[in-house]
Amino acid sequence: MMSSEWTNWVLALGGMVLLATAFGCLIVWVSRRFKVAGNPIVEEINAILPQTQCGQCNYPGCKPYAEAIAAGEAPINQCPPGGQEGIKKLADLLDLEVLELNPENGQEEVDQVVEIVEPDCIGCTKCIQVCPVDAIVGAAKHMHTIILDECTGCDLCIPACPVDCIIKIPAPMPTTLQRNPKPDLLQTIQEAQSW
Amino acid sequence: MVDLHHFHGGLVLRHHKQQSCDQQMRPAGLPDELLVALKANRGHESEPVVTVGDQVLKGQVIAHPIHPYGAVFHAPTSGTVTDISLKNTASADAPLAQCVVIKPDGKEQWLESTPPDLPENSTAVIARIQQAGIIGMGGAGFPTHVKYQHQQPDQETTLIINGAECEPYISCDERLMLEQPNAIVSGTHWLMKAAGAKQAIIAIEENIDGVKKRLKQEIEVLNPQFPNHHITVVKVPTIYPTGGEKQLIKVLTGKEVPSGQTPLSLGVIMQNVATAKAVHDAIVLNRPLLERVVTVTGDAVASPRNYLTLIGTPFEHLLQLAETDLSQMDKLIVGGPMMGYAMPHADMGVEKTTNCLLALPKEATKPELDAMPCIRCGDCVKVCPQELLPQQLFWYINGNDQNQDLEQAREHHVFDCIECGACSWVCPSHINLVDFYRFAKSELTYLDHKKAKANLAKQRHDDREARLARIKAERQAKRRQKTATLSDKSNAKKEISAVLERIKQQNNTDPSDD
Repeated sequence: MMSSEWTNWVLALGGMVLLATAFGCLIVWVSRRFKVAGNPIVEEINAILPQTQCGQCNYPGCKPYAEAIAAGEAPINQCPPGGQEGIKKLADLLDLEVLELNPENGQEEVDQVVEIVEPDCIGCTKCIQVCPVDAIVGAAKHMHTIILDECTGCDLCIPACPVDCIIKIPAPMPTTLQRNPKPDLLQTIQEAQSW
Repeated sequence: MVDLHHFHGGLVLRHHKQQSCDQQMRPAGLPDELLVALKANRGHESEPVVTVGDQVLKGQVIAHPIHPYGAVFHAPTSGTVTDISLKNTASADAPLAQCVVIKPDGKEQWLESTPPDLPENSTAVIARIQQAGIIGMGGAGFPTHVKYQHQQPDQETTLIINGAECEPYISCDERLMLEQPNAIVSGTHWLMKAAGAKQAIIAIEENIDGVKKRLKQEIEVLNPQFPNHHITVVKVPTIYPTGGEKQLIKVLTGKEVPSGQTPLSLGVIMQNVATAKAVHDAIVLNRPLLERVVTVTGDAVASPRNYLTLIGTPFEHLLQLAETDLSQMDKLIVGGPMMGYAMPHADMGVEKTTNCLLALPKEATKPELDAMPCIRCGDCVKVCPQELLPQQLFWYINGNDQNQDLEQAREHHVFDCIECGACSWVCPSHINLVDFYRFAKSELTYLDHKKAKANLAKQRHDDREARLARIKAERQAKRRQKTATLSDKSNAKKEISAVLERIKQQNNTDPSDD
């Protein structure tokens, strides 16, 4: 009588331990298998930032700024290339108040790239070293040139140039891309009744 | 006999075609100068290969495409190139594009070439079409040869020749079918050869008389030459926009072209009748695409008619030929009243896709009423031939609560809109809905372009960071290795003795150098 009760105890306990081990292993496996590398919100913020890598936000690139926003260290209004539209998207993503662009960080400019005035270039390679996206080709003492399709318009090369031969130009757009203006509409009944 | 189906919605419009279609086609003759715009399909430009001052002969190549969807351009007549510059061209908002201006010498001297043999296989036919600079002449201007280069190897293909011009006023295709049925049927045979198709359908509207009989006669005549080809002529109901590519496929086959795909996914290739005629000219007559039929009509035109026009003929020349009262003309529209575009002036050239010039006086145009708020009546939904929700698209694009949501518009398939204008036509609030969709499409394309550029920049920045990190790590490893070598006593000694040896040797050789 006594012995059968003991067996039940042992069986129950053993069963529990076994189950616990099994689930424990499962948890370990799941945590390894589906591990999220890094903070996912950083990636989402980084996807909204324009990837100009200009550093106007006072961080050395878009990713560091995204990390600072995610950590709550930086406000969302420090990215001039992203502009007001970018601030709005960040505010929507993070459920924050929409702020005005901080003028200390710079003015919003659309679709600008830079170009080297080639006759003036002395081939010092200083601009190549600062370009964050490797969009400048050239060798020492040879003329450099900018790959316009890959230039982000970050302007980091402009102060680096000792002979001031880098100028800003409007970004080349595909000829098929033609932006239409938004048509007008009377928004409210009151507006419509007044004509 | 083909079973016909119906597409959703559509409009029954008065067609106003009689005025221009009852008249015989006439050649428009040589104007004072020709303005050839070097662009095809949605603005894909071509690079001029002539310079100002060059003498060109009729049929000589003057521009090569720089994009696969561009086209070859030929000099429409012999003469001198007087200018190559940016000018307004005949599409939406009259965008600027490179134009070659040719002053004709009046001799119409052809570039001499030995006529090549008729092409034997499909590849040769496609090459001839490409060399002739043929693009879709129904309006979209898609390069014809490209359609045949994307075919699946053993796909059964049906060719549809679109003669169902559904827009009011435009009668150039109908007149062409009445006057040159032989060229159209012959072109159809060559296109079938290019596609490897056994079946072809020529679709015409049911309200035109005499065309079916003539086409059938020509099919009988040409049948012995192409015994494997089977061409039928089908009359389709006149509902706007039956002539749209997707709508006509639905009417003839009952199938819908999937969103974001081409008719080729259903094994269908569609060409305009004028394209078929151009293919005949290119292959049988060895002539590149130099001219097309243009309807000049509208209530401000005294004698509406179809003109066989050289590409590049200025609109002014055509309007004068048709005795247009320019003081009466309020709007000059390229294309039809539904999908055409009003032009700022008449100083531009006929393009390969220009099918109609419509000069309308003030009484004939819809008064420009201010657009009122959308009342969500749903009339636009009933007429949309693409089965979209125009009022919902409008809601997202215009912005509810000041929140423009173009991504939502994309999800509601704004890119499937064919801009037929049926929704704007029925809107009781006079909203030009199509303008909103065109805005949304262009803005979304622009945003996509920016997004792609940002992704590229991110990729390149990450690669650069990785490269810099790798170089730093390599340098550190090298230094560490050096330190490790030197910290070993015996190694250090060896190193020192080696250095001493080198110095000694140098000292020994030095005097001899002096």
